[in-house]
Amino acid sequence: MDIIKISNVKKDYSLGKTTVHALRGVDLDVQEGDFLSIVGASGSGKTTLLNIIGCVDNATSGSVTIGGEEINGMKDKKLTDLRLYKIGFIFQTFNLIPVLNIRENVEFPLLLMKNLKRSEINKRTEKLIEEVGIKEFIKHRPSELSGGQRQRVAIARALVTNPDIVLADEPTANLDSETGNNILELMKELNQKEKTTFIFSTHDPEVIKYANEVVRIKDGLIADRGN
Amino acid sequence: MVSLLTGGINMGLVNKISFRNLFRHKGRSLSIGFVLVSGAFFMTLGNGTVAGLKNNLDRNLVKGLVGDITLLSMEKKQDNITGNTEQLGFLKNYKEIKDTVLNKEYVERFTPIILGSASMLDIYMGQGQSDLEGIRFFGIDPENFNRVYGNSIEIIEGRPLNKGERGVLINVKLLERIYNMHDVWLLPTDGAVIKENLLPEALSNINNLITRNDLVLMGISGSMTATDVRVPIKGIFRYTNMNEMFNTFNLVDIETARECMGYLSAEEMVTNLSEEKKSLFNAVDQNPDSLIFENDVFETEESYDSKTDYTTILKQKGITKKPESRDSGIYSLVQIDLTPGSNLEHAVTDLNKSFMKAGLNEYVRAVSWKHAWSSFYGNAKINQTLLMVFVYIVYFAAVLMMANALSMAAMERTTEIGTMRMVGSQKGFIARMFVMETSFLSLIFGGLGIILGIIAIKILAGMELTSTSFDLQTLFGGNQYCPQVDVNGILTGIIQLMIISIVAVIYPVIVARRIKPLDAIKRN
Repeated sequence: MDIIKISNVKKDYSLGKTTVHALRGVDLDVQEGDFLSIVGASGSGKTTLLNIIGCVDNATSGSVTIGGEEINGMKDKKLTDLRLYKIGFIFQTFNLIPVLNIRENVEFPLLLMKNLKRSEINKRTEKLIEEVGIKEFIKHRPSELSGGQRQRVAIARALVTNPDIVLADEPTANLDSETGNNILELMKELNQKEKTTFIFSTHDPEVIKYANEVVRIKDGLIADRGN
Repeated sequence: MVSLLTGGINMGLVNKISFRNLFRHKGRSLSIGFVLVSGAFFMTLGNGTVAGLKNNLDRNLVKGLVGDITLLSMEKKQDNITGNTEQLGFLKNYKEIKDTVLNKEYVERFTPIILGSASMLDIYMGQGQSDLEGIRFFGIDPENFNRVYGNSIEIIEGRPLNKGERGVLINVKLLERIYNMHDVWLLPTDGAVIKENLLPEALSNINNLITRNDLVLMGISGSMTATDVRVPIKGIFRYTNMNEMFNTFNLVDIETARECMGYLSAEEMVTNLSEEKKSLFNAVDQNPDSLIFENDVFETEESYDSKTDYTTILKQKGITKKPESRDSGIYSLVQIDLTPGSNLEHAVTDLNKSFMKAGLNEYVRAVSWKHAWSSFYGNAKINQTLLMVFVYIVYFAAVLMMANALSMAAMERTTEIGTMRMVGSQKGFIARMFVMETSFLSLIFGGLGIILGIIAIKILAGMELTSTSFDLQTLFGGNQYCPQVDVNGILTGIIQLMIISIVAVIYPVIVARRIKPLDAIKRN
């Protein structure tokens, strides 16, 4: 089943009098449970594509369907709920909330959800914290953790809501290679265990090898797709 | 209900993030806090000064001198009794007016007076100058005045007027003006020169000091019936709390006031004008010169004496309706004090309705002190307005500075807010976060500012700062700065603080709500 279906998506940006065509007509289908890597050079359009899939940016034209729902023209409130319930995000710069400790960061999206019992929140939070191996740091603030540890927190936060899709924009870019590999192995393990769809962008060949499928993007177009 | 208020948002989470952000951004919190402390402090002080001004005016002016309501003759067209040259006239049907007013449960005190002005006929004689000095006065029943308003004046030399006594109390400012203009130093009857009270120029000229202890007053009534009356000076005084504002008003016993204003008797002049008097007025109209040659037009000295037996005189003049008491009923106005808690506007309306019902509305009307003494009230109102303007400027500045600091904070936290939005926070969550941060700041620093303001008010009130400046006395509502704080003042301060906080947070909330998830990524 296609969890993501993108048809002829174009994205233009205006830079003064110049129009930048970031995506020039992308078609992409992603199956549920995929571990897919989007690769390409800087400025090729991979982040733009991830942003559109993540409902944080609008396509200029074309159709984007997430979990069977067309997101073009969707109201901000509904898009936000879609992100909350169906999509998890992992950032290159971790983007944790600095005033919350690790446990609070992980449970943050659950607290935004309606009608979720405290016991359920605790159960899910503790499970993810344990799975990503940061149990001993739950009372720490993000600033007290290393890059790898922070990214583990970000992964836990992304997965705590049981999302259909996890989007990771260059998740290992700010990590040393060993930590990066550990993070990717963790993502892979969770993908296999939870059957969560993972899409991550990278231009690092070392990272690409973890992907089940690789989508190469060049000048705003899908250049090729393969295993 | 709670869910409706919070929009289903987890307020515990909002509060947690907001509160911790205050500590995380200490510098910003402190700078906003400083604005809030200063704003709340000055607002509290301003509110306290305004409350003090109102309270002082009520105590010193309304309860201390002029009463809540003034009854004016309908001959007086304008309500303002001091700010124009229109004659006051006098109250006809005084007895019926008095009966009507005293029936009202909200009337605490009823004080009839004459408000007049006169020329001091012989004050220039010492130096041969030709200018006549003027004097304004309240014609008072000393017994009644001392009982009601005795605390409002302070005798500097001599003594207060006694019951039934003829005399004038001169305000110290008039004393000084007369010396400066005419080199005459006024002294109470049988009083000696008190060196300490002399002006420096008078002290240096003490051996040649010209003194007087009586005045010859000729009323300025506009009715051509004014006469000149020699009246002894019984004392020199100042108004205890409002001398700079009220120093033009001296105090004369009621009989002297009536005589010099030409108000002989209510019975004679208002209700029962005798045939003899009617023919006299006709003669004046036809041949004014005839008056000069007819001896009987002159009143004898005894008719003006305080011990005059009006019954006898009126009988001699063929007037049958005698006054019921020594109160002949000739007054130019009545000052009414209301019982505590009475509604001023309601009382004025009710009195006027009652006058109409009793058929007295042709003769009298009730006017709020704010209108009757509008020159004083106007000054106070201007000062009150200026103070309020000051408070609102503080408001405005506080709102601007807070809004600016909070907007900057919103922009500085673009990544954090964008991340929250990306992981599922609605705009309402972000808005509430900012509102809560501002609320915490307002509660902590605004509360501190209000407390400091209250302490400052208590200290300033305790210092009993006094002033002899007219401007400051109108600002203080008396000679003493008495800022005050009460429950209403504190509540006003809290409400103002809440309004400031709400207004100040509007723009930052708009800024924060505009932050998109994509902005977090762009920042990275």
